[in-house]
Amino acid sequence: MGGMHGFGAVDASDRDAYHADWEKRVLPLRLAVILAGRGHGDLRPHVEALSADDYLSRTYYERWVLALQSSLVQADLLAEGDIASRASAIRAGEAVPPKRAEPSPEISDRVAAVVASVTKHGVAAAGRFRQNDVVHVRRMSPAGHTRCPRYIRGVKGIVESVTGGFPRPDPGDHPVEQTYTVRFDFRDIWGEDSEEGVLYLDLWEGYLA
Amino acid sequence: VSFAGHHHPKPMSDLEARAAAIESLLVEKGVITSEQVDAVIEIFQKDLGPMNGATVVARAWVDPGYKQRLLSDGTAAIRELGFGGVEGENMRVLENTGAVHNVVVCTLCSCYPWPVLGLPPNWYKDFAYRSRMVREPRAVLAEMGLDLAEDIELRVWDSSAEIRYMVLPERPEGTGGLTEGELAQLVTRDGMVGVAAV
Repeated sequence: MGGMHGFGAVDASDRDAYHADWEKRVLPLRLAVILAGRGHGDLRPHVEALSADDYLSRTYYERWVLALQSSLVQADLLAEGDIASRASAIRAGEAVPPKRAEPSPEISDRVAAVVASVTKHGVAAAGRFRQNDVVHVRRMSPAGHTRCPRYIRGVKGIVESVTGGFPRPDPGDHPVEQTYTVRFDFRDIWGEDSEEGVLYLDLWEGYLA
Repeated sequence: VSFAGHHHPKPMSDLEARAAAIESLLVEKGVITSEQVDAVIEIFQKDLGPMNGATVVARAWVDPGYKQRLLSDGTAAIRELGFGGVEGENMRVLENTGAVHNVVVCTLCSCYPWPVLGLPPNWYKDFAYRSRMVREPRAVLAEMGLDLAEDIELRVWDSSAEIRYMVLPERPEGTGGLTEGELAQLVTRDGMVGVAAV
């Protein structure tokens, strides 16, 4: 998405985190699935696997619903047909919502502990690059999820800091690789007539040459 | 009472209904309970948000030792004040000065430091901000009401990996007499993303 034209002005007045009340349940629903130990894998590959039409025409949490559905179906937890027919019944007012109690302190404490937990530590990893090394982002065009933004591929930058090893989230076996914060000059990204400025971007070693 | 009860004067959209369908099916299968979902919502509403970031910023403004720790190990210094957890596990704090202005974006999706800022506002997740902040940040900032002097170095941080960023805004002039609590009241979410001055 970085650098694309045609999206118009930023609507800074849109300060809320949701477009509708129902959207408030989507992320918590996903976290509840993780809490149950059934939320395997990142949801972002599912978001990015949406058709361009869905991706561009849906709201943020609508994309999440589609991605959550896709991940649950892929994990054999739910069948798409069951979701569709239940959704129709709900729209027709024919489904009764599940009974609900106030969250008990026990549930709240357990959920709070999960939200406060730390699972993504950077770990020591061997890396080829050092601070101030000049690096080039590899040219690539993967079809699936990647954290190497399209707009930076092929651009020259300088390693600003070495930021620890993390599993690289591209499809496959997610090897732990060194990550780096790399500094880029706007003119190297966008050309001589670009605004002045510098861009900092965190990149996995496998994205760099 | 139905899902589409009195809270929904308009017909439910397909995706709203799908979200409700997923929840009800997962509850029936015993995977989750709606109380767990409610508990997460409550945490996002009560425990996470820019009031936490404002506490961190105000402490850094009054305590030079804390500020130094915050800039050298953001995660640990933020944890000192009791904040941390999911999406705040690897924090880096960026100091705005008279010579440097920092601003944060996630071109990939919506990476954002939950423990100190809560969930991101809609504009942060919208395509306009994500596409333009890495190409014409000065123009975007001006549209959002922040005109940067030309001699200020602009640093844009695209948080597409595992580090999460928070901006430490400059302490406003004329606030020497304020308490730490009063200073925290001045700190805004937009200031800590870097799209506004404080």
